[in-house]
This record gives sequence, structure tokens and C-alpha cells, in this order.
Amino acid sequence: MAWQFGRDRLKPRFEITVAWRYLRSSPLQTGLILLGIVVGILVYTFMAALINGLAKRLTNDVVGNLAHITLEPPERVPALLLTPAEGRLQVAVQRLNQQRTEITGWRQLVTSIAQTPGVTVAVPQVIGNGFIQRGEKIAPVAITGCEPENLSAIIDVAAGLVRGLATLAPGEALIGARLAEELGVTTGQRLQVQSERGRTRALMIRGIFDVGSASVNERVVFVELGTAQALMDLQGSVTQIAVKLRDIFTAQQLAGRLAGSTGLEAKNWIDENRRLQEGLRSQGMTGDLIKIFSLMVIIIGVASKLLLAAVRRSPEIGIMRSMGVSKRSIIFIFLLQGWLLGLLGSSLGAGVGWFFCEFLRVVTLRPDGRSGLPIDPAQGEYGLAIVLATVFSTLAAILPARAAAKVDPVEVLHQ
Amino acid sequence: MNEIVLRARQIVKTFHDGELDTQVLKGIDLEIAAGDFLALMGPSGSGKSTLMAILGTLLRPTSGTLEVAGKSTHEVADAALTGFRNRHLGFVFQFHHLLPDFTARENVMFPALAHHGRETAQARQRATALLQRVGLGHRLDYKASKLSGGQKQRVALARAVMMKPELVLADEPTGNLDRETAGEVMALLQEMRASEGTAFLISTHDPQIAARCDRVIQIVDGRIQS
Repeated sequence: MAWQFGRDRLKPRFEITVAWRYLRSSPLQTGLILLGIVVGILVYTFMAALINGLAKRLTNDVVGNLAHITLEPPERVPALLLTPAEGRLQVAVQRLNQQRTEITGWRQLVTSIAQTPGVTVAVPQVIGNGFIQRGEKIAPVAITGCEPENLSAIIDVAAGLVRGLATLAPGEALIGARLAEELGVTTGQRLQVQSERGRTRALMIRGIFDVGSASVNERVVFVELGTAQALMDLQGSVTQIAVKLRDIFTAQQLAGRLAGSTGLEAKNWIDENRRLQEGLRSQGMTGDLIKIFSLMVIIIGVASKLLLAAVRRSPEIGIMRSMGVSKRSIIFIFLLQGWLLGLLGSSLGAGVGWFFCEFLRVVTLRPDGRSGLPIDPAQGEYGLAIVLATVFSTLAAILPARAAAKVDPVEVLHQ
Repeated sequence: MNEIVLRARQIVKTFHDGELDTQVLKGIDLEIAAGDFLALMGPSGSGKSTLMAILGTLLRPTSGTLEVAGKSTHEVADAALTGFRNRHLGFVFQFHHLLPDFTARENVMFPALAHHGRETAQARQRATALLQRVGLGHRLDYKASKLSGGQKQRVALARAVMMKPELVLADEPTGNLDRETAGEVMALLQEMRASEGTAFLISTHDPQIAARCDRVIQIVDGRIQS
């Protein structure tokens, strides 16, 4: 068949053969650059596992003892009947503190909230202040009344129990270890609890807990719902409905939806813990910066190795050009080298990164089952690291590829 | 008369360096027929290498026309010329320029690999036969970097004729070899011309090499003298 002029197409098998041969032909150089990529990805995955692990731990520590959403009766604000006839009108609204905020028809609301997609549990609670007097000691406490079956639904009291039982019956209470220590009491003993409403009850200490939160251990007294209602002068009503979610990061969105459907005021843990969010965000940004630097090291490494190769191999590139290898093929050969280096190095690096993170997690494991380093090997972002390193290695090969394609066969073949 | 494989008409090449224009070739007319065995001689700076590069389509003339294997090349884009070179032209250089990471056979097969995109049994067979013909049947799978200078040049010669081109341009093919090895390489070039019917244009400074060619083309100051 007669040959006709036409645009040369790429022949991937040819370019892959040459690219692979080039990488294999200088094992020391290729090995060193692969090592560089492995170290870069090790840093990347380590930072991801550490930062994500730390964020997860901090969030769990904070959110573990919190309701993700708390539904309360809305504040009653007097309606504004005046309109500014001219100019500006300054109005001061005074909160109606003298009025009780309570939820009366809570059973129906709890059922409907619990059925909302994304909600794992909805717990009616009575919350109020009070104090316990024992001898000369007076300790302010937060009285938390709930149904016995929901005792551990919001704060996992059962898991943190250090003495006694995690059950509640009328006239019984569970108190924190710190409060017990402060008052010098233990299970089986009785306490006089007086509420902010002036009601007093003698409660038997059923259990003592340590949930890992100083404020809870020091302040919270769990009592059965009916006992709390009596202490707070509530006739069958509750003061709030605490909600736990399947995905804690949907709290803002679901809070809006629940507020709309119940007519209650919904507070979510994210808005209530802005500082934690800001801390996690800046921590994440620091981690991202380190990850970007590690990717930059990979880019520089790959680009310099391939640039060197483009210069060193210019006579070969010249002869290839004279033998009918197109500029596009030359470019593709160099891009393939970048791609192969990135893919191999980052896959290896991801494996090494996982082992390193797992090793650190295991060697710093404490008797309580927690790791000394808040590292979570499962959150090393290995797939993303491989994709990014492969893409950036390929992009890093663009400059060397262009330099190689610009080799003038006439010039180099006569050198 | 044999078929014309290369026809150059009024080839002019001017190099621009700032405001300085240097005309290296000043109107070259040349015809090469199939099976020709020609020497190109001339003093340094006479334009030999520039002419070889233009005839090999590696360099564009400033003006003039060039036909290779009956195809006009002067108005064709570089990308298309690359494939054309692969099919119709072969090159032998003074410094052989083998691919050091490939074996002798892979180097010979390389133009076919570039053309087909993969190794074919046919190409492998021909590369083996060519290497046997140049006396390197026992070095087929040797890395090019492990071969001696003469062996490398013989591999380069086998590579140049791999695709059965109409014309091989040999730029000082013996310039880097001792006299005995140079004689062997010339004998091989002649043998290839006879067996493959390929035309050869051999650029050389050596009168003894030129004397082994059918005709000597003298280039002086950018013009052909004879």
C-alpha cells in the first residue's frame, strides 16, 4: 500500500515499552526517586491519619457526652406592635425569665423525632439546677432526669460506671466520681438534694460513674424522670428533648428540620462548639499545608529526574526522531515515565504509610485501649494520596517532556 | 535508468543569527537513483552536513524543492514527515547513536517497533537476519552499550536498512573507526546496496572511502562542483 502523508498516531505499546525500559535502565536513579515519592506519601498519609485521627478523637470526646441536637421550648419574645413612623426606633426586649419553659405534649413529639431519618434516639429530659448538702459541704449540681431505659442514650453512663449499677428507680441517683469524692459518699448512701424550686428529696446513690468529662463527673446527678419532675415542680412535662444522630455532621441541617417540624427551638452541637470547629479547621489547614509540601517534593523530584534524563538522552531522542518517532510519542514517553513513577512510588508509599501508622498506633497503645498518639490508620487518605501523587508526577513530567520533544535531531546527532 | 529515489531542485539554506545571514547552500540540484552508491565530499564548512540533514528531511530548506520516493516533502508538516522518514529513509551517523539500553536486535528492530507500535515476528526475523549478515549473529541479545565501536556501527547499518528504505544517508559512517574496520563497514554498505537495492549517499572526508563509491559529488562553498 502506498504511503500517504498523515498525522502520526500514538502507539501506546511502543511508548510504554520505551518508557519502562528507560526507567529500568537506571535503577539507582529510579530507585532514589521512588524512595523520594515513598517518603513523600509516607508523610502525606501519616499527616492525614494523625490530623483526621485527632479530629475524630477530639470530636468524639466532646460530642460523646453531648446531645447532638437539643430541642427546647422557644423563648417567648413579646411581639412588637410599634412601627417606626419616622427615623429609627430603639426597642429593648426583656427575656421572660419568670415564666417556666416546659414541653407538655412530649410523648408524641419524641415518637415523631425518633422516626426522623438520621436520628438514632430522642430522649425526653428534665434539666434543672440544685445543690446537695452533706455536713458542711454544699455542692451545686445539675439534676438530669430521664427514663431509666434512656440513662445511657446521651452520655454513656453504663460504660463509665465505676461502682454500683447503671439503673434508675424512683428515689435513686447516679452521681459522678468527682462529686462522690468531694462529698465523701459511696453507693448505698443517701443524699439530700434540693432543687432550684426549693423541693427536697432524699436520694439513694445507686451508682458512681466516670465518663471522662470533668464537668459531668463533678456536676451531673442522674435521677429517674418522675423524681426530677417532682424536684422541678413539673406536672408530667419535660424541659428538653435530647437527640443523638447517626452522622454528627448533619446536626445543623437536621436541627433546622426538627425545629420546623416540632415548633421547638433546636440547638446543635456544631453551633454550640464553635471553638472546637475553628480549632479542627486550623488544625486541618496545617495538615493540608504539610501534605501540599510533601506533594511538591514529589513534583520537584520527578521533574528534576526526568529533566536530567531528557538532557542525558538527547542523542537517543535525536536518533529516535530521525527514525520516525514523532514529537508526540517522545512527549508521551516522558509523561508515561512520570505516571509510572507516581503510580509505583505512591502505591508503595501508601502501603508503607499504612504500616507506619498502624505500627505507631500499636506501640503507643495504652491499657485503656486508647492509643497514646491520636492516630487513625484507617483515615490515611491512601487512595487520594495515590491519585494526587500520580496526577502530579505526570504533570511534573510535562516540562521534561516538552524539553525532550524540542531536541533538534540535526544538532544532537552531529555532537 | 533506475528509478529516481531523490530529486532536489535549487536547494538553498540560509541560517539567521541575529542580523547576520549565512547562506550555507546556494542552489543545490541533485538526483539519486535506486541502487546508487555515491560519496559526498567537501571541505569542512562546505555545507555537507546541512545538505545531508535537508535530504534526510531533518531540516527544512530555505527555498527549493525536494522529492523523496516520488513524494514532494517541502510542503508537508513535520508530524507527517516523521512517519515518512521511518518508511523511506535510513540514517547512519559517525557516532552510530544506538539506544544503549536496548539489545543489538532491539536496536535494529526499533524503526519497525516505532512503525507498528509493537514487536512483530516478521521484524524480529528480519533484524536477526540483518545482524547475521553484518557478522553479529552471536551478539543479537547483547546490550548496545556492551558492543565495540565497529560492532555498534554495523548494528547502526543494519538498523538503517531495516525498513527497506529507498535511500540511506550515511554521515561520516567510518569517521570514528580504524582503517580496517572502516573497510569492513564499507564492504557491508556495498553488500547492502547489492542485496537490498538501496541507494546510499555517503558523506566522507576520506578519499579512499570515496574511491569505493560509484560517483563522487564534490560540494564547495554551498554548490555542487561535480
